[in-house]
Amino acid sequence: MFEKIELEPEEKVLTTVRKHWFVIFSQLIGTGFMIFVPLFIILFLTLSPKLSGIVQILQNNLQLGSFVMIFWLLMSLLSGFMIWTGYYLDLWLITDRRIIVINQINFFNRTVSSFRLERLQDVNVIIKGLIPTFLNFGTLHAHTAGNNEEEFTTSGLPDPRGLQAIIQKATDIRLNNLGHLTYTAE
Amino acid sequence: MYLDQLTSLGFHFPLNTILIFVFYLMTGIYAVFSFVLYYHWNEYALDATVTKNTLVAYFAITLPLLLALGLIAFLGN
Repeated sequence: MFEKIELEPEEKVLTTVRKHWFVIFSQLIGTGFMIFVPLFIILFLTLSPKLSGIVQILQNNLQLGSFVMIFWLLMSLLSGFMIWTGYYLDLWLITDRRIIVINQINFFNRTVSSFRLERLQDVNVIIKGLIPTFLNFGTLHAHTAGNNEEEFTTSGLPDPRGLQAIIQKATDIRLNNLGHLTYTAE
Repeated sequence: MYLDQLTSLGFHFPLNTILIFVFYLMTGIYAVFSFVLYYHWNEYALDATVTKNTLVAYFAITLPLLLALGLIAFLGN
């Protein structure tokens, strides 16, 4: 499953995390609403006497009406698939040695960052708002130490406290292992 | 009156010609979009099953709609 991500020998994937289902649900609801926009417009035009001429045109010209409807439906569906692609390809991959953060912002904006657990300085969780609190999703900040300090932030991650715990536990184990290796080397 | 304006748009283009032009435009957009979508899933997705299901659903849902657009544009008269 992870053949496209080059893992080190004996590196184990602890968990992969995508954004919370509510994030994609809220985006797809928008797309779903867009699909029905032509129907709402037709309803509005039908109920508005001043604009009934446009409805008359569509009724008289079924070719134009059906073309516009299908065109709109197709564009909305393409938008829906774009949202789904962005959602699925955007993820955090936590292994026993590092964290790989893939941000798929849109089709032509993708960043893949990776940092080793021993470089991790702190992990912060922000759960802000009514819906994130009840559905348990939020923002995770991971801050690395060293000369090239970096901060990795992703919003809408499910169970961010659980994720924070997994990362901290993996970091502790990693640091212990490295300490052990250093000790034996000496 | 409205119909006359729409069918000619004041430039003496028949409605059918406009619809065919929009269909060609849409086909171009669709081809580029499909290529980009396929590339992303093929290149970046970690799970082959999800990739397959997504691409099958994409083409199964959208291709008939594109064909319907073509049918309406060409055979609508």
